Amino acid sequence: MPDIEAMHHHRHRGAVEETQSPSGHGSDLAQEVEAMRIQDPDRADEGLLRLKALGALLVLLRLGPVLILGVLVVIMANLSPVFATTQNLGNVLAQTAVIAILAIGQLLVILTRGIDLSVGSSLALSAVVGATVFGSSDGGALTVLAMLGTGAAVGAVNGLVLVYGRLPHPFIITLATLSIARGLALGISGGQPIRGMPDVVSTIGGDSATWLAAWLPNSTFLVAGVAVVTTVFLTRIVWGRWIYAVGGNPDGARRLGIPRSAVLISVYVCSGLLAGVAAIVTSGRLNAGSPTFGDLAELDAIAAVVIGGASFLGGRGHVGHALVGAFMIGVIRNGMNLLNIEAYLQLIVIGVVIVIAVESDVLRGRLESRFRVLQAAAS
Amino acid sequence: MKRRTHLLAAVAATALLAAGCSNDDSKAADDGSGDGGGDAVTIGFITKFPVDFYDTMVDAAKAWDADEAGAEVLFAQGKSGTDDEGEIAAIQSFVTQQVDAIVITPTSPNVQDDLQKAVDAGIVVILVDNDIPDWDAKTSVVATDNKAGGELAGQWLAENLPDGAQIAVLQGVLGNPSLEDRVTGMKDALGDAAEVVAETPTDCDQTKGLDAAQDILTAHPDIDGIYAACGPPLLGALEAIDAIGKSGKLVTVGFDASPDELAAIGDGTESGSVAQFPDKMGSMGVQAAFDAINGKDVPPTIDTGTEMVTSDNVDQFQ
Repeated sequence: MPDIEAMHHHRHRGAVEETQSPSGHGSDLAQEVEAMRIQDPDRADEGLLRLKALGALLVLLRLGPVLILGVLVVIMANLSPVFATTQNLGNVLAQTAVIAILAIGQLLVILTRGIDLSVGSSLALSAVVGATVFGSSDGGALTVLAMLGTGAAVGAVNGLVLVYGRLPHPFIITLATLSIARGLALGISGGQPIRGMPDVVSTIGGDSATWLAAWLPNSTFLVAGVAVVTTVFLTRIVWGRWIYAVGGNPDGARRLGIPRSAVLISVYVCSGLLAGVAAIVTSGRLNAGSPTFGDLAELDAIAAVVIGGASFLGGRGHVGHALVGAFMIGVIRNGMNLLNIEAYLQLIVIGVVIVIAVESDVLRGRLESRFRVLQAAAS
Repeated sequence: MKRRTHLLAAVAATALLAAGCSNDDSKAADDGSGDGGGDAVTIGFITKFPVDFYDTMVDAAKAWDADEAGAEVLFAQGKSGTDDEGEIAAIQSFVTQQVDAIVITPTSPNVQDDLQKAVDAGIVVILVDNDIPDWDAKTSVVATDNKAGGELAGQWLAENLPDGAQIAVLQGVLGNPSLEDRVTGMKDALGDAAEVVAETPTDCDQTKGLDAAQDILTAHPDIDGIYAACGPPLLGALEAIDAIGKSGKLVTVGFDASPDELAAIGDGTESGSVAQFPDKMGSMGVQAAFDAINGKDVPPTIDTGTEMVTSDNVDQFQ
């Protein structure tokens, strides 16, 4: 774990230098502190105080998204008597499961400086293919495999075309598959939802863990499982470090001989696979496969990653960021429904939260580099 | 010379595009060569995107076309319910093909400018399913009277809800006048018969309908009924009702009477739905265009009607 931390900081410093070095903030500041120390020892103490204040502010900013989520929860609980009930907690968990799963997939892609716009359409295509397979085979396991396979296949197309088609940016290929997958879903289903899902799908997506607590949706365990597995992959095996390296420092990754192509393809396959997992949840909840599922879900997933505090420029972020962002969106929607607030306000609030989250991340980046310079000068 | 080549290329490209847009494989090819009939009029029919509702319209227009020797109907379609660009491209290619009339289910008032250019080129324009209220150059609007449909639902709810009932409304898409009419009409006819305790927009999306219904049933566990301005969110709400073990115990009314809604009405999980008649929109739309081209009087609005579907008459709709 410590080596990961060290790598994390190191990588981050690299990113900051890349984006901010032209202004030359860092060295100016160092000279300033050094000058203060020589001229006046008292002012050096003042500098130390500033350092401490800055450190405290940084801790706050690093916790930013979690704090905002906490504040939201407290506000909602005060405004609506039913918000903080177990039944409603179950609602929030069930409604957020799909965004959370898609956001974890999106996180992997964004860590490599990529983007996957196709996940909402992949979800719809997986659901429609699953419903079609179930209609003609009646097989639960086969249906699940078909859904996961469809998602992974769309992801593989994204990754392969991106790498071997030498595309300048994944925006283009995933925009294309967004369109193609939605078209296929509409075509296969004839534009109509297909009713009926195997028990295994409706149990995972739609039912509660009655053996534990009647309000607890089964999909929560699925989200937790995906989160744990992804975290282990990202932090405990070399593939995870490659993902961070490819996004955080592409030139360095190339020089170190990291298999960039394989890493890129793998993250798109994972993102597609997780769209298939999300399809199981949606199909289970609605006991159907519909070509309209997951409409604009890709934007929710991207928003969740960014709101949660991962860097949109790649190389920095973890599963916790994706989950916090997903729950922030989920809590806002659920709370506003409970309070019967007009929908246009939901859209405005989510937009404002995105701006606040991203601005606080930018501020954090600037302060961090300042902090390090002050620290270096003080020591 | 060079310029002329460009012009030719542009015309050829437009023609190709038009051919690509056309769904009618049998007739598009020999259109204009006047297959024996001499002065057959051509009507371009543009629908929003390939789902059952518009397919039904297209099928009815094709059947009308097969019966009417004096007309050729060409078809084009957009990619989604909000694909303004796709519809505009279709309008432009029909203008290039010099059709006599365009029958269109407009995605939004954004297509108005290009429809005006068609009218300026002497083409009759008939709007189907949705109106563009502020645009006067249309010849007729052939559509469901959504307010009347909403009133039908409100009346039925008033008769079938217990005294002092509380209901929730799942709205459609914000800013869509026909969907808002369905809610206003319902409330007008419902009057004091029940109190609306929650109103949530759903974008006519099944998942959002399920989420909204879950939240509403948590905040107001004792509501007696749910009305939805379109079919999919009501189907989502039925899942939420089922999850709390109240399946069939709430009064649930949707709008559209889609095949899945009819199935739900059949098995008793949904109380009723307001049926529209997309087939009539298709056939009456092209008929209105045909009449207008031939100089007959066409009324400015043609109501294709609505009907309340319940367990009593669901057999007639399946």
